[in-house]
Amino acid sequence: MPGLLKSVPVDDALRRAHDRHRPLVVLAVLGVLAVYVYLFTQAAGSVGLRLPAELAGDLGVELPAVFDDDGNVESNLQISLTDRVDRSDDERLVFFGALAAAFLCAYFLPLRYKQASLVLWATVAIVVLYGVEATCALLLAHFVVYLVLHPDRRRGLPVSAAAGLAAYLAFVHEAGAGLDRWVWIGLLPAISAALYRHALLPALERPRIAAIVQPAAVHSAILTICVGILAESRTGNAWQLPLGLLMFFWQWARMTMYYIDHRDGQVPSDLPLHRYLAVFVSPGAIPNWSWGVSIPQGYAYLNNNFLSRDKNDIVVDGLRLLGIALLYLVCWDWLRNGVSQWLDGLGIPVYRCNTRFLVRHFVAGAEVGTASVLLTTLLDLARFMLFFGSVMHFKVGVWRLFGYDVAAYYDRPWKATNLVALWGRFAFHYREFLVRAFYYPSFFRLFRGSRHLRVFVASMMAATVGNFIWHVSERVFFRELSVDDLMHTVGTWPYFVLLGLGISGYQLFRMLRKPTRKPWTRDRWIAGDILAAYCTLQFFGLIHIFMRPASGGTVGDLFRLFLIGFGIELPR
Amino acid sequence: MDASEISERIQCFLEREFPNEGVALALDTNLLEDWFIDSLGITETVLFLESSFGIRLSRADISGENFKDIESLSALVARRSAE
Repeated sequence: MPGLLKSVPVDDALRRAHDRHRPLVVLAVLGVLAVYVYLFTQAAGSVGLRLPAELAGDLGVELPAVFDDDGNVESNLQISLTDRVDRSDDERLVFFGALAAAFLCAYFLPLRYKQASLVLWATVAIVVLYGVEATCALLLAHFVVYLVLHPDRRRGLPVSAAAGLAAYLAFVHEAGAGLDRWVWIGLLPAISAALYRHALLPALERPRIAAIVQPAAVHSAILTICVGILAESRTGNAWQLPLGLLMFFWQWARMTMYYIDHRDGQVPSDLPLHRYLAVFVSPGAIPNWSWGVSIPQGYAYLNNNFLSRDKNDIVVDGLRLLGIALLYLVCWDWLRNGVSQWLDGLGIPVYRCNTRFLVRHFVAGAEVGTASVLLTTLLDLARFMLFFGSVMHFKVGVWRLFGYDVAAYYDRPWKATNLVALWGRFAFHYREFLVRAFYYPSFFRLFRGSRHLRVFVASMMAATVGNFIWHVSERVFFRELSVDDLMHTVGTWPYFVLLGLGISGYQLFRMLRKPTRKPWTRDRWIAGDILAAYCTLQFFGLIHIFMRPASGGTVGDLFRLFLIGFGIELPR
Repeated sequence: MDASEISERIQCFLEREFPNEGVALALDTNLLEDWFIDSLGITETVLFLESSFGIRLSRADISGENFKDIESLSALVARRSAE
């Protein structure tokens, strides 16, 4: 699995050669989207069709825990962070509508308009789902980053004026009425353009200042966490961020990847605004926005994979992923329920296949056996993988519909025979983010004299330090900037340390002992592959005990429970 | 050291460290598609290039263009050696 290196630049002439139309492919996409609309929205009822639950009843199919009260399929596919539209079903309907429109534009428009149309339709969807203020705050943040990373007087002045207008619409549009409003509308873009022309541009011409301003803009999410936590510790009040800025901060990983590309010279300095925005403001980014790990790719990867082979082949591959996602989305809860009830019936409690309930039970003083710990953590991992895989397949599938040949985020993780492979299969793009943002900087700077130490430290930097920092940001932004949330994440440190040690240990083992066969080759060693895959998944499931602390429990309690998984019972 | 000698040493390394039965390794074999099995393979190749040719590579050198095949790796070594 070569990772990001697989992508190499493609020129526009080749893209045009790949941009051939096939009506059957278009019909197939619209058909699949219609199935999604039927299953996950209220559209069927509105046009007088049988609802999915009624249809399943007519067909004699019993799927407990699949349908919700209003007769359609309960879904993990969500429009996060907003309740502007009354029902989640309607939010999904808006999204699917924008998706269909964006697909048709990206498919049929000439090459030069494709990415701009994606930005346009994503913006329309975000305005409807999140409101004008949030959309403008999100765009304002991106305008600022664009101006800072791509300084240019001719291109920058209109963008800086647009940033002023976005600031007005996001933050001060209620400040006045009548004449005042028009004064604001005229004033803010003018001030913004003047600041850009006379302050920011000259400052960015000085390398030392640019070296501070550019990373500060890119990593504003992390800086905000630090300042917000400090502010709370002094004032006792947690910060509440405007929604649009929160949405921008959720793109920190993707922004970091963009910045790495920028520093590596892989982003053209004269990149037009719409091609910058196409990385961040695309319909593929909208579902489950608050799952920040989803496809954190920067400019180079997305650009290199845009129409990098025949458009229709990419779209069909996207449809395949949307089909698998559909299967996971519909069946995951039914499977979880069925397995949980079956094992409970056998007298092995698995706590609804949820490690959190297992931990709560143990912390409350109950006795827990090794079989329960092993099965609950393994089934929880399976539950989480189906849940996670459904959304990730959907998101990657959507990117592919637009002609981006994006690698699958999630690729049969149960086939991983070691922790390194598991990460590549379970969270491919997130792993690439950790490798580029944490592994490589360490690997190319620290301990260059010692091969093993160099690899060990770089692995720990990625799997432990980088992974931990990302989870801190996720936790803090998901709630609010508060010390409590920070401390909650800090308390999960054993997970990150054990994962880092597992990954680093395997890397060192691999350096010392080279593999002589590929896993899953059909020979007499395949039983070893099955055992290795089980051990990998079981270990990964067990360390999640530390990610699900219960109130009143200590890290010591979690270690006791973890060791019970190995058959070791320590006194409380 | 000339280009052919560099290529030969890289080829020996790849065949020895990443045996790939059934695939013949040529100078233009696509390493990313047909040879490397994971990103650790790329890391080990970096370690090999640095120690064998006395060069220093940076993060920006880890690209699809440089790691495409033995010829592109050989060109990378030649560029860094000349610096």
